[in-house]
Amino acid sequence: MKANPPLSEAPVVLEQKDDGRHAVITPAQLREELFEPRDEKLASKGAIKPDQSGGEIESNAATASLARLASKAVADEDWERAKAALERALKIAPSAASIWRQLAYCYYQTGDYAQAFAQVQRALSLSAFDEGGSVLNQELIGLINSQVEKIDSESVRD
Amino acid sequence: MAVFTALYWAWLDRRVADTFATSRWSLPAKVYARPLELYVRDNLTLERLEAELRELGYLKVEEVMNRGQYSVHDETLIFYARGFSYWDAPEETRTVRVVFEKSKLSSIYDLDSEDSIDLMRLDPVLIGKIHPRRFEDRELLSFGSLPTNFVNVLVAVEDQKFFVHNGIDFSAIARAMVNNFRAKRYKQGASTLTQQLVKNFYLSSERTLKRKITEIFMALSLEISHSKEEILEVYTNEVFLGQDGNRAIHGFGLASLFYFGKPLDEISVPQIATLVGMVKGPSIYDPRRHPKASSKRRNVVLDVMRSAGLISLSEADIYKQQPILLSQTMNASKRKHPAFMSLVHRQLQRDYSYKDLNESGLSIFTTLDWHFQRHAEKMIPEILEAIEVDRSKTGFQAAAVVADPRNGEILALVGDRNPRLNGFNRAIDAIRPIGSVIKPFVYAYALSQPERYSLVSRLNDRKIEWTDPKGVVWEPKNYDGKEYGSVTILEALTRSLNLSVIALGFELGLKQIREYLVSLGVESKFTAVPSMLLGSVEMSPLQLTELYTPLANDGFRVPLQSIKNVSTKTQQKITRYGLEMRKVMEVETAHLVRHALMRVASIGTARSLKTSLPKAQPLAGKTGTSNDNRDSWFVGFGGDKLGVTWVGRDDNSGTGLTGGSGALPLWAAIMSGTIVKPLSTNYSSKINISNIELLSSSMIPASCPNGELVPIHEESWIRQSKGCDSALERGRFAPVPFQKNKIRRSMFDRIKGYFD
Repeated sequence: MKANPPLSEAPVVLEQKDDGRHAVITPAQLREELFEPRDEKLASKGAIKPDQSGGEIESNAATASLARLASKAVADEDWERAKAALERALKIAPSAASIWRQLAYCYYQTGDYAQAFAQVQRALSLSAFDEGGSVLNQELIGLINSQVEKIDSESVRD
Repeated sequence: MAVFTALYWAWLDRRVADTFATSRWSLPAKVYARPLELYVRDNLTLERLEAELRELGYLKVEEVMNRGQYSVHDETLIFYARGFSYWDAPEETRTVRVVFEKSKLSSIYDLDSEDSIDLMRLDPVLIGKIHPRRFEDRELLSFGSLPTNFVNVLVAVEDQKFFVHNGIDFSAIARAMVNNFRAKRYKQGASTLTQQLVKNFYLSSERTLKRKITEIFMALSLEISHSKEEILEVYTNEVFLGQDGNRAIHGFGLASLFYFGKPLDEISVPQIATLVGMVKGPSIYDPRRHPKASSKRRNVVLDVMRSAGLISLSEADIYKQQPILLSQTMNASKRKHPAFMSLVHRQLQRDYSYKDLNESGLSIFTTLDWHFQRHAEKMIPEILEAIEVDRSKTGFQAAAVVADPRNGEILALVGDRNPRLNGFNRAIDAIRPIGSVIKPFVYAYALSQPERYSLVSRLNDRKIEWTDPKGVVWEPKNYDGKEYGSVTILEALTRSLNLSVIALGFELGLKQIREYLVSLGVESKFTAVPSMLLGSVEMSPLQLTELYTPLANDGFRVPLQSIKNVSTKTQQKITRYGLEMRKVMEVETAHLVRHALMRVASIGTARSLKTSLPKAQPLAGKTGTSNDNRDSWFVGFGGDKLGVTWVGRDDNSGTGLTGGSGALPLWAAIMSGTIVKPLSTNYSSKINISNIELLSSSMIPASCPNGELVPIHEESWIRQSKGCDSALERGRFAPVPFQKNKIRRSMFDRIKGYFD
């Protein structure tokens, strides 16, 4: 694999660990937040805004159908199928930060932390159109970093 | 004797059972273009959809009745989709209505379930196969997928008692013996389908008594151990039905595609008759080489069908009148798109063995947009010829790569002006100095330090001399030989000034720039010398395309890929090549450079794009020319496409072309074959759009007409002037104040204005 920037360069959330919030989020909770948003406000996070150019707004039905496909695959823990559906959705709506986060979560689940992190960064780069997505981004980064740290400490023990 | 017979029987039985079970054939790998996605979108035309259906062998009819047909009435296209078992989300067989409005796909509707369809994929276009030099090819069909009328015709013609005999048809043998005796020569055979299969599978073609007896024993044995359905299925897939160069056409599934361009369940009755007639002699009844013999044989089959009660007398008469319509598309066994296929092959060889690729019937799903690829292949020789005529020169070569910068998928790739030639692949293997297309990255390095540099920072465009450690003096010049004095980064990049970029390079540090280029992913070997700033770095068109992905993709570098996934012959996923990316620059840096490159394509060295591609505006681009005009480069991008073109000569002699006169018109001609999404004019929230008076690099009030709207990073300090005339009133330096959306909106209009 090509060299990825070390994860320590990330806008690290670990500093915020003290507030307790990022320390307690579990993968299952985050999965729920990303894939099964309960309230409307959450559901619209990262949704495409009309002021974005390129007509992405019109393809919402197509991306929604892929999001359903992805959610089902995630429920089955079929991560490759979920990734395939999400990457297909991103071809239609490349500026949808919420889909980048879902993809990051799937890469996190398959242990590809560098890629997962790059995808959260992609969501971060779209923050201008991603109202309310920043908490989720931080939670994802926290989750990824906790795994990376675990691996680091284990390799030290070896 | 009895013991011997019993042993022989047991041995034969074993042999038949073993090989029959494992004798699943070697199958070449199939390589597919990317499937067309249908959803409400503005970048798909009815013509493009129709082209896809035609390429897939769908038949245009007045009214759609059967699978594989389509109709067009005004802006409505109806088609009976074949469906495809994609590993991730299978597509069903259904009748679909697609409505276009003002050449934009506006609705998709399932006529069977009466529901609207949010998203669907067509079946994928086959662009090639991977196979040994000489090979057997087939399209496997299961018994259940065989059309009933095909089975009826096959049995009626080849083996009327197939479903009742036990491997041998004794009454047919008796009949044949009588007839042959009367004719005093061998005229009629009585082999059952089972015997024919045994003969093809296990035995030589000699006509000896011993072989005949073995054949009978084996046929009987096969019938005991296998069902009629299994035997017919294997027969249908095994039978030899023609030769296509070094490819042997086996089985009715492939024969139907090869001769008629359609699957077996979509061909007409006379077409079925033609194929079944070929069993008797695949080469003498080949409809392409011997159309008369073929149609005569077909008519014999039609007569057999009539006497078997499969068709009426009048139907037989009508069918006999029909010409045999052959497909043109499947005719060419020549390899298509060799440059792209060789890239696919290189990637596959890394991950799969020779045996996997050549024998196990893998399905390889690539990223190629075949329609666009074909256009690119057509444009390259056309444009090169035009340039050669214009310049009274010959021997130009070219290469082109177009990819989606957001995911790295290669849409088209050409490596030779003769796109059929599978030779030196310049898109991948021609490593050449990239000239001025390096410059945006030198500026990116400056702009990645917003506290030091903005797009309106001033550079000193003056002649310099540089003596290398060996004492060689280097005296670079601007392309027009002039000096421009104090210029902004924006202006220097727009005009591709050499002296400015060298001045900047010395300011930034050559070593640091080299390190930055390496961090962006430049893999070529190069040293930190000043000529690096003018593009002495050597790269292939493919590498250069990848280098540009972060500029077109908010700072993220995406490796280019040609394969999305590989599945088994039953469409089980084996490998998925997922998205990979790496953040190599801040989104702000990417947006600032993108802005400058949009200016290049509107009023700078690439301004001719305004007239050649009016609909794709705004676009961004950069021309490049190497020393002595040896290499002409152009790199350009819109929202969803990034392309690199190169024009030069293999012997590395001068072309007399600049990037603007060679590679740029080629790029424009290639891009005219697709719909390029205009670039987004959204900027990161850390970027403020400011009205700048470029002569003094001062920010002036938004209402002043003598300014230009320039994106400025919020950490950059700009001189602020209260009036329009910044020369009268030099303001103090301060960070750029945040501008309201109104200005952002007018920014968009202004950029649009470049192109009016």
